[in-house]
Amino acid sequence: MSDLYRQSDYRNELRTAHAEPLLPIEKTLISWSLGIGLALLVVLALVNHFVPPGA
Amino acid sequence: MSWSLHLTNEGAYIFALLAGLVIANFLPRFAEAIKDAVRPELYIKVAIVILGGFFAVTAAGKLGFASSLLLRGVAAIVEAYLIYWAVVYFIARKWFGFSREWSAPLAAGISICGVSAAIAIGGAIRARPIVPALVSSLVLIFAVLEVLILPFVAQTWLAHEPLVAGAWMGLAVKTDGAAVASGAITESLILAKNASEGVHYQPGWILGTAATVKVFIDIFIGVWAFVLGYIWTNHINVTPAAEKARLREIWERFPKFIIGFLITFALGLYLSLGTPADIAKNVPAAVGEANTFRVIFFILTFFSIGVLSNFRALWQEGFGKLAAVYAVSLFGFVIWVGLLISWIFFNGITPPLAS
Repeated sequence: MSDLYRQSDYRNELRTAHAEPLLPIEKTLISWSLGIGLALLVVLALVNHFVPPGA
Repeated sequence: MSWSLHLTNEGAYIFALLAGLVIANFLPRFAEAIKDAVRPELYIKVAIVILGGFFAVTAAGKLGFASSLLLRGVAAIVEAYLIYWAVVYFIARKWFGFSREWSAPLAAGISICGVSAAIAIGGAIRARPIVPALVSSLVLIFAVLEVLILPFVAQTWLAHEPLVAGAWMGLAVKTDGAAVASGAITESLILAKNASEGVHYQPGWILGTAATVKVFIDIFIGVWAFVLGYIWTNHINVTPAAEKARLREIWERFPKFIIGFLITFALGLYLSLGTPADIAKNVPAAVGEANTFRVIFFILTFFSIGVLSNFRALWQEGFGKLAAVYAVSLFGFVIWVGLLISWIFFNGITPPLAS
C-alpha cells in the first residue's frame, strides 16, 4: 500500500482537501435513489404482507 | 486426536479470528510471510458455493418459505443500493467533506458489500487504486467488530425471531465472509438458546437466510458499478469515448461465484425433490460430508480476516476521518434500518422444528 501512495501524502490529502460542492447530478442521483428505493420497499412490504409465507 | 478444545464449529470460527488478529497485530513479519495465502474472499466464495447445496437440502423441506426469502432478497438489493448507498454517499460528501472519488467507494463499502463493492465502484468511477484499497482495509476492521458483537446482540434480543436475526446479519455485516460467518454464529447461539427452552429448530435456516440475503446483494454489484460508471464518465469526470463505462462491465464485475452457488443449490434441490426416493434419502448425508469442507473454508475465512485486520498499521495511516464516516453510517443508520426491514419481512416466521 505504501508503495502506491506515501502515508503523508494520503493524510495531507484528506486533511487539506477543499470541499467539493454537490453537483446537480449528484443531488439527482441521491434523491432519485432514495425515492425509488423507498417506493419499492413499500411495494415489496405490501406484497410480503398479502402473500402468505407458506407452511 | 485424543484431545480437543471441545469448541463447537462457531467457537472455532471465533478462535480462528482471534488467532488471525493476534498474528496481524503482534507478529507482523509472520503475517507478511503468509500474506499470499491470506485470501478471505476466495475462501468464503468456496464456502458459499458448498453452502448452496446444503441450503437446497434444507429448503427442500419448506419450499413455501422461499417466497418470503425471495422477497427479502429483492428488498435487500433495494435497501443496499438505492437507500444505504445514497444516504452514506450524502453523509460522506456533505457532513464529512470527502471528495467524490473517496465518497463513492466508501459508500459502496459501507452499504453494499465491503471489499468487492468498494473495488468495483472504485474501478467504475476511475478512482485511484489506493482509494478502494484503503476502504477495503477499513471494511475488514468493522466487519471483525460486527462479527464479535452482532450475533450476541441477536441472541439476546432476537432469539424468538430467528429468521429476522439471519436476515439482519446478511444486511448489516459487510463482506461476504463476515456476513455468512455472523449468520453461522447467530444460528448456533439462537438454536442453543431456544433448545434450552425446549424448542429445537432445524439447523441451517438462519445461516441460509443470512447467506441468501448477502448473495442477492452481491448479484447487482456489476449493475450498480455500471450505473455509477456511466454517470461519472459522462457527467462528472467526462472521459474520452474509449474510457467510458460499457455495458460489458456489468458481466465483468458480476461475482462469478454466485453462479456456483446457484448450480449447487439447483443440483441439491433436484437431487432432493426430483429423484427417486432411494436416491433422495442419501442426499442429506452426502451434503453433510461436503459441509465438513464448508466449515474448513469458514475457518480459513475467519483466520484470514483476522490476519488482514492490522489495527495499528491502519491507525498510523490516518484512518480517523474514514473510520468516523464508517462508524456514523454503519452504527447510526445501516444496522438499524436493516433490522427494521428484516423485521417487516420475517417477523413471526420461524424455522421448522427438528425431527
